[in-house]
Amino acid sequence: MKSPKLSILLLLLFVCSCKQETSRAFYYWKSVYKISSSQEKTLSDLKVTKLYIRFFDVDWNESAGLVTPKAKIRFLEKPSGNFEIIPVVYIVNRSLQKIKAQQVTAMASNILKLTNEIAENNNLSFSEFQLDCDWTESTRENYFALLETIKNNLAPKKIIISATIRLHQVKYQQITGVPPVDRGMLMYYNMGKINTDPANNSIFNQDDAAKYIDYIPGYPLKLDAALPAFSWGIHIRKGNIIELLNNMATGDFINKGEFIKSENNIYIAQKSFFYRGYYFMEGDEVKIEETSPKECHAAAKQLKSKLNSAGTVAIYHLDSLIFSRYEKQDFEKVFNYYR
Amino acid sequence: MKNRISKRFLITIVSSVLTVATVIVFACAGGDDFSDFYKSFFAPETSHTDEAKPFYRSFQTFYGSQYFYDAIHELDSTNLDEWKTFFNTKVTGKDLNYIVYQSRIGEIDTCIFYLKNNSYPIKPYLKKNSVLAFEDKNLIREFLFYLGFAKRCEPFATYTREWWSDDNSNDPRLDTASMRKLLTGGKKSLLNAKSPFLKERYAFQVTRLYYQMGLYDGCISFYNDNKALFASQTSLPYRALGYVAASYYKLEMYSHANYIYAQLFDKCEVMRKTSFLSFHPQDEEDWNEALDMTKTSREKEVLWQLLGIYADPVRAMKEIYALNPKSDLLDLLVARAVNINEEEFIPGDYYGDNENASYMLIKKNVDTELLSFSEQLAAAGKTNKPYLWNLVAGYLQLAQGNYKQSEKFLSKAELLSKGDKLVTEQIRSFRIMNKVEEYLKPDPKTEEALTKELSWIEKEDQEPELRAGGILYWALSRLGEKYRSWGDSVKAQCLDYRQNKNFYYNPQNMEALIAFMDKPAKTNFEKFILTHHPYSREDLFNYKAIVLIYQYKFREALAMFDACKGSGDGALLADPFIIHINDCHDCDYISPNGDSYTSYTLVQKLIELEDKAVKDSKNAARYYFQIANGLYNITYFGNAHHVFASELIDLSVGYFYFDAAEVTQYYPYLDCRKAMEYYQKAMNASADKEFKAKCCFMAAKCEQNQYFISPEFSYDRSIRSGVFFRQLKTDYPKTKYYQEIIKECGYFRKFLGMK
Repeated sequence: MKSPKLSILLLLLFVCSCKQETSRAFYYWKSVYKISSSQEKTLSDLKVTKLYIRFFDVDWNESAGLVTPKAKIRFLEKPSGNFEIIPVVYIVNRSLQKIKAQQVTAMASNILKLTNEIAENNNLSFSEFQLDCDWTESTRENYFALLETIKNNLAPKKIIISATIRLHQVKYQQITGVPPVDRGMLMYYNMGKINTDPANNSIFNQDDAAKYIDYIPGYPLKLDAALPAFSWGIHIRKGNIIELLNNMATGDFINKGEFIKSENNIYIAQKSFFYRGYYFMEGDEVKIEETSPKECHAAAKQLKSKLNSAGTVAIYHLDSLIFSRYEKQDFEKVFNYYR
Repeated sequence: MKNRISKRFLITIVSSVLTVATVIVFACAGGDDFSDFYKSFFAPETSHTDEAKPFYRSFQTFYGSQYFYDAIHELDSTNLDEWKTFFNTKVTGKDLNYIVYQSRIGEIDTCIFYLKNNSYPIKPYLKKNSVLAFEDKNLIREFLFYLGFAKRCEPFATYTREWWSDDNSNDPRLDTASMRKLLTGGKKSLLNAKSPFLKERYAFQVTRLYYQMGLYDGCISFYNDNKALFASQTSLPYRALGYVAASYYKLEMYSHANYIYAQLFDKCEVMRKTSFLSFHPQDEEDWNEALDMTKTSREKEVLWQLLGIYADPVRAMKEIYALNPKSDLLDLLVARAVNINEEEFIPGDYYGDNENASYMLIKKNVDTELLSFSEQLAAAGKTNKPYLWNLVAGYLQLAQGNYKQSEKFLSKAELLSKGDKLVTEQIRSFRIMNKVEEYLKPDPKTEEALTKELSWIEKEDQEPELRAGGILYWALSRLGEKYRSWGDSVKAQCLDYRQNKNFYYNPQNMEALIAFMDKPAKTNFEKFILTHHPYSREDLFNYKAIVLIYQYKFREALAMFDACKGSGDGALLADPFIIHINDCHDCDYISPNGDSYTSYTLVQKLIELEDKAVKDSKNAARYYFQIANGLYNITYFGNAHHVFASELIDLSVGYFYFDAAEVTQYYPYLDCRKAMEYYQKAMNASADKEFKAKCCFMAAKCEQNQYFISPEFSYDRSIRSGVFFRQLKTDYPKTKYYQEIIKECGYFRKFLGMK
C-alpha cells in the first residue's frame, strides 16, 4: 500500500499540472502587417502572447479557373518576438467545392509552400498552423483530406494543426464531421446567417448562440475560443445582401449627406454614387454590425458557462478601429473569464 | 423495367439527404459546371451587339468564355498582323511568328551579321526565313535591331509571380541597373530609328520600361512628351496608353486612369477585357473628374457605358440617351439590365423542389424604372434599334402581368425587327408565356394551341441563343400549377411532378394516373404532357407492389407485379436469404449467385417458404429463419434494400440521417419488427441450441436497429442492449456460435464488459 502522504502529494502535483494558464491572443486579419507602438503596448499590458496572423486566403479564381491564393500578407515590420505567431490560412468554401479529390494533395502542398515561404522570408517560425474554413457536408471530404495531408506533413516538424470551428459545425457534427486536427478554435460569433433584419446582429447575439451552446461540452476536440470584436457593413439592395463592407463602421456613414439614417439604424443612400471603392445605388441600404465591448463581454460570459477552460482565448481582430472603441480594461475583462 | 437507379434518382437522393435545394440544371448552356446564366428567358443576343458579347450578363468573368487568365498573350495575333503590314504582307505568318516570338537573341544577332556579310555562318532554317529575303535590307536590319532590343525588354514586362510563392528573388525587375541601361538605349534608338513604325515601337518599349521600373511619373511624362510618335493605326498607341493609365492608377489618380481605360475600352478591341477589369472608380469625386475630362460626347457615353456594365445599367442608359439617343452603347446595357432584372422576377424555386412555389413571374420585382424607360424609348423611336426597346417593354409588361400591353409591344417589335430570326423566335416564346398566363380555365382548344407552341419550343432548330429550354420548363411548371388549381391533379402531375411529390402515395391518384395512361384515344395535349411525366407505368406498378411487400402481403404484391409486365424485374445485387453476424452488403454483392434474384423472384420465394413452413412443419424453424433473413434484408439495413430503392421512394440507401421526420416518412423500409418476429418464431420452433443462438442473435440485431429508428436514439450513444443480448448470455453461453459472436461483434463484447 502506498503511503497516504505520497498519495496526497501526487494528488497535489496532479492538480497543479492540470491547472494551465490560458494563453491570450489576437487575430490579425489584414493584408499588410504593421502594429502601432500603442497597440503593441496594449498587447503587452494585456499579456497577449500569441498572434494568429492570416497569411493569405485561398479561393476559386473564376477568371483563371484555378484555386489560387489571394490577398497575401505583406510584413512591413517583423512581429515582436514577444508573440508566438500562428499562421492562419482562410479557405473559401467554394474552392473546395470546385476541386476534385485528386487535386487535394497539390492544394495542400501549395498552401504549405506559400506559408513556409512567407514565414521564412520574414524570419518567422511557428509551432501551430491554422486553417479557417466554413466547410459544409458537401466539402467535408475534400477539406478533411486537405487537413489530413497538411497534418501529416507538419507532424515530423512537431507543428500542430488547428482548425476553426463554427457553432453550426458543433451542433451538426454528425453531418459536418469533426475535422482531423489537433485542436479546434471555436468561433463564438457569426453564428446566425448574415441578414438584413436591423434587429438581428449576425456577428453575435445571445439568442442565436443559445441554440448551439449545449452542444459544446460534447464536442470531441480540444477547444480554444475566439471572441468577436469587429464591425462590418452589410450592403443591401432591394432587400438582398449584395456585399460585405469590411471594416466599415458607423463612423463611415453617420453625418454623411449621401446617407440618411433610418429609425432602425439602417443607412439609406440618397443617390447613386461611388464611395470608398464601392458603388451605392439610390435606395441601397447599409446595415452596420458592430460588437461593442459590452457584447464581447457578454459573449465571453455566455461561452464560459459551457466551455469551462480553453487553451487560448483569442479576440478577433486587431485593428485600429477596434482599438479606438475598446479600452484596455474591456479586453482585460474579456480575457479574465479564462484564467 | 428500366435501370432502377436513374440519374434523377441520384439527384433526389442527394437533395433529400442534404435538405438543401439541389439545383437541377435543365437548360443551361454548355453543361458541366459552367454556365452563363441560371434564371433567364431573354437572349441578350437579340440586341445584336456582337462586339460587346463578352459583357453580356454572365456568372463567369466574361460571357461565353470559361476563363480569362492570359492577358500576356491576348495581343499576340494582333501584334503579328501589325508586323505583317510592316512587311507589306511579303513575309509569311509562320516566319514572322518564329522571329518575333520564338527566336533567341543570339539568332537575331546571327541574322544581323549575316545581313552585313552573307558569308557569315547561318543555319539553313534561319537563312530560309522569309524575313531575311525582304527587299529593303536597311529596313530588315532596323527591324532586327529593334527586335533584339524588344527581346531584352521582354522579361521585365512579362514576369508574373508564381501564384503559390512569396519568393520574388527571381523577379527580373530587381535588376534596376539593366533596366536603366535599356531605358537609355531605348531612348537613343528611338532618335536614330528611321522608320516611324519602329520609332513608335521604341517609344512604346520606353513607356513600358518606365512603368515596370515603378517610375510612374516618368512613364506619364515620357508618353506625353512623345505623344506625336504614337500615330499609327495599330494597337501600339493604345498599349502605350494602357501603361499610362496603370501609372495613374498607381499614383492614385483614379480619374485619369478611368478616363483612359474608357477610351481603350472603346477604341481598342483587343484591350476591351483588360480595360474593363482595370476600371475602378473609387469615389464620386474622381468619377466626376473623369467625366469632366471627356472631350467628346462619345467619350462621355463610353464612360457611362462602363459604369453601366460595372454597376448601374439604368442610370447609365439614361445618361447616354440624354447625350445621344442613337448611341449604339445603349443596346448592350439594356440587354444586361433585363438579364439582371429577370434574375429577380423569375421565381427562385423555378428549378427547385419547393412544392409550394409559384411559378408566376414576380410582378413586384420588375424594375419599373427600366420598364418605363424602355417604354419611353420604344415610343420615341429615336434609338438605332427601335425593335429592341419594344421587345424589352413587351417582356417586362409580361412580367408585370399586363399581357395585352405586352402583346402590343411584341407586335411592334415584330414589325420593326423585319424578320430577324432570333428576335422573331424570342417574340414567339414571349407570346407562349403570355398565352400560358392568359389561360384561365381548362379548355381543349387552348390545350391544342398550347401543344403546338410547346412542341415548337421543345424542338431544337431554333437559333441556339434562344433560351428555349428555360422557357419550356417554365411553361410546363406554370401550367402544372394552373391545372392543380383547377383540380385536375393528373394533368398537373404530368406537367410538373415536382409540385406534388406526395401525389403517388395516394392510391386514388395512382389509379387516376394509370387510367390516364391507359386511355385509348388521347388528345395531342395529353400525349404531349405524358412525354414530360418522368415515371413510367412500370414505375407506378412497381411502387404499388412495394407498398404491399412492406405490408407483408406477398401474394397481392405478386399479383401487382403480374398486372404490369416488367414492373418486378429490377435485379437485386445479393442473395436476400443469407445473413451474417455483421452485415456486409458489399461482401454479399460479390459473392456467387448474388444477383440471381429480382424483386419478383424474391416475393415468389417468400411465398414458397411460407407455404413450406405450413406443409413441412418438421422443418418449420429453418423456413422461418429463411423468411426472417428475407424480411431483414429488404429493410434499409439489409442487402436487398434495392427492393424499395425505386423511382418513387426518396430514401437514400447510402447515407441516412436518423432524424424523426425522415424515420417517420420511411418507417416501413426501416422497420425490422417483422424480421424479429420470424427470428423468434424460428428460435421457438427449434430444439437445436446452436441454431437457437443464431436466431437469438439475429433478433438482437433487429432489436438494435429498432433502437436506431426510435425517438430515444442518440448519436452519442450508438448501442443499447435489449432482451436478446440478455437471453443470449443466459441461455446460450455454451454454444460455439456464442464464441463466434464474441469474436465478431463489438457491441456484444461491450455488453459483456469485455474489451
